Amino acid sequence: MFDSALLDYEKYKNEKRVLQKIYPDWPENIFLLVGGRKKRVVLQALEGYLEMFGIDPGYRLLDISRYENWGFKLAVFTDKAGFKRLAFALYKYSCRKLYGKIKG
Amino acid sequence: MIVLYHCYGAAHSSVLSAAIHLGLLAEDRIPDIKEIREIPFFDRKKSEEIGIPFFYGYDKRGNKIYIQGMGGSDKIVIGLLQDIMELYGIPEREVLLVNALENVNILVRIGGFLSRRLGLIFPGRVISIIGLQLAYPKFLATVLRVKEYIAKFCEM
Repeated sequence: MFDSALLDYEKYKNEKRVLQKIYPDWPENIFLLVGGRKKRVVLQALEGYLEMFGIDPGYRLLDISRYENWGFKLAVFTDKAGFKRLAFALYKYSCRKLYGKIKG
Repeated sequence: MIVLYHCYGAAHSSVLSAAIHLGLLAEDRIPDIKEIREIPFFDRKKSEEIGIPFFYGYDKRGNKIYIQGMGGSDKIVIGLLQDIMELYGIPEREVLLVNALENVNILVRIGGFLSRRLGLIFPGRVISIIGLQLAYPKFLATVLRVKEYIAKFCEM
């Protein structure tokens, strides 16, 4: 399950979008929004742009950045440093920990 | 069309540009301190409002003029706008983004910092306005280019 999710993550990451629809076959519309370092700016821009275009999609925002633990941060660092396999292993480990935490 | 003038905090350069566009400031001379100080939203926006696009007015052709502070996150915010437009099938030509920050000088930056970041409003405003007056010909040239572009766009 985690391997598959991480491969999907790689695929979506390579598209380099800020707002991206993922899993188009799912019944619910799910999007990923990259917040960057200034999350509030991006969120306010999102709301503002939708209003600017008169779009009211009725979305629900889930902030998953609060689940980031040291494992994810280290994985990102090693990924950027070019240690892809180590990064993948760290991502997988972090996902397992997070899953366990959410499931209780 | 939507014209979006953006800068760091939507306090000075984007506001001045939008005001010129809407004819609130002269095109044949440099406005005085009082005229610049009194344009709507000048040196008013707070840091917490960075990211929000604000409607400034309609120009003579009925185009919507907006201002927005991007807080230095231009790449990601503009990327977001592009993704939204693609998602909802909004043609690229419907929005014209204009980076007003390209025309600022050191005085505008210092004044903005003093006023918006340190809360030293009076000296900050004076310094930023002097900076804007010095850079006014550049701002005017940018807005005139934008208007020319819009006029050509409307002819098509």
